[in-house]
Amino acid sequence: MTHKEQRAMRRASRTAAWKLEPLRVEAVLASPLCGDAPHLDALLENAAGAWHPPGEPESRTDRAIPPPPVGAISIPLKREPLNGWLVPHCSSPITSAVLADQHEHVGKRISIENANLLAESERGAVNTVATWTKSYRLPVRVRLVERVAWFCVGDADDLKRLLLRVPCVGKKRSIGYGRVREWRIEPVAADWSWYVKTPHGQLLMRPLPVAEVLGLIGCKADFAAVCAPYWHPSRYAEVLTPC
Amino acid sequence: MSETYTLHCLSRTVSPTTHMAGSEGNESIVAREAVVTPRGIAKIPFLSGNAIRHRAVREPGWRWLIGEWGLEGKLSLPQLNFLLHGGSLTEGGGKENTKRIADWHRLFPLGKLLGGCLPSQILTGSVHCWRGTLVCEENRQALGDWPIPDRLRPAEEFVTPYQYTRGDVFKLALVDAAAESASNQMIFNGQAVCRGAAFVHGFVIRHGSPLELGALLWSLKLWLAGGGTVGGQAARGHGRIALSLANFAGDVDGLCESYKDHSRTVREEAVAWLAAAFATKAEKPATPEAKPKRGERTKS
Repeated sequence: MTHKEQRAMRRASRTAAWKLEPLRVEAVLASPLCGDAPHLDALLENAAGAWHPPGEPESRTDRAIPPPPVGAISIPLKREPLNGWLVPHCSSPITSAVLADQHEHVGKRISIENANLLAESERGAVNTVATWTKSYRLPVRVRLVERVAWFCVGDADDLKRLLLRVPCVGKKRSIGYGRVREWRIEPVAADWSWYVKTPHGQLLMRPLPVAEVLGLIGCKADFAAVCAPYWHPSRYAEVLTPC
Repeated sequence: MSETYTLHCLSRTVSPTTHMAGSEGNESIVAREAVVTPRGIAKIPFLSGNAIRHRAVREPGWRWLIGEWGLEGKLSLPQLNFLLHGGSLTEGGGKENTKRIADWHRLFPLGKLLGGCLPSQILTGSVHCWRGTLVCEENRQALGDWPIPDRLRPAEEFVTPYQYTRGDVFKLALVDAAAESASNQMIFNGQAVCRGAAFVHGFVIRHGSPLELGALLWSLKLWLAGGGTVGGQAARGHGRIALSLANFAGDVDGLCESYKDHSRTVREEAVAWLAAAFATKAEKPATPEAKPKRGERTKS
């Protein structure tokens, strides 16, 4: 048996041993969140893909490249087919109360003080107001939230194992935003990943590829993705999203 | 085998640090972040991860490599932009050259650490630079596992004003000092985090190797050896930082030497990679000679 086959077998046995149960996954943040919090399944696919196990497609991709087939990256979450899509059982991210909502700036300018490093032929006037040499000071939305939570149906042990590879969430992670101090996973009474029953009707908890509002509340029709990668155009469909 | 490395750092300010974020009236103000305290939200000075990443890692690290590989005075502007500023996507994406990425990771541990953007390809980095958190009472909860004394000072005790003057030396030379009683010196002032304050921050290298760890440590060493400043007004002596690693059990000198040896060994290949990645597109073949106009004589 080749090394590749051994890995595939190990993965298959691990998948078979999953104990799927309703859970609440919570990220306790140690620094402000930049941009929006990600979907849990996207986070897990990225964590699994960045590791690059042989035989498993890479999650890193480009808008112009077709994404991995839906469900090709195994993650310890329950997935269910719905209207032609394999939809993971995890809610959209829910942040705790926003304690401060502000913007910070990320800037760049060509370091003219390093002009001596340039070849003679490259020295000259640099346009700092246009083209790729333009200086910028971009505002980024930064929110102070203490926790981000997701409701899901999954295997707690494997979730913990994968999430330990995720040190931060949101945008601009490489410069310290959205740092996760602790991942908490705890069982909950019921599956609240797609809907939650309320006295007023069923509250939608995540984007679903459903064309009609069937007794759902807190939702609107949209054109968006229902599975990772959520930014890829080929994932877009007519959906209902929470609002 | 890749590994995740976490470096915890304690940086003490050796001189007033002016990591600015705009102005209020005529006064420059230090960058502040919102922090939850038992008394509500407070705005506390901090050091941005972007500033630490550039000043402490990217600039010293790449400047050393440029010198070591003899590239001073030989770089093109796109290459300089790529090495010292992360580069720009100027030719559109859509193609991922995996050989180029693999070679990049092998030849440039510092590059794998920081990532960058070639004209037609984005190269992801692996290091996360944390923000510098001021050691103060308001940040007690954010300091987490650090050994914290029972009593910490409030953040505002670390914020001090500064004031300097500047004047036009050419005008000064022309004016008769005796006739000109009023000074033409202009006052400018602002806020600074005072000397003796401390910031905790860190670096996480995801799926890294000892060479990348060595690249990070060597860059930090070079930064400290070159004065080790963050923020503005370094020319006036502001922003000097004394950094120390906390609970790091590795052999710092050994890791740095391994990285330096590696960089010297791959010099030829790395320089060739850099030239190939920024090679200008081949010029289009010259158009065939225009057809002779009616009545025009052709060469025979």
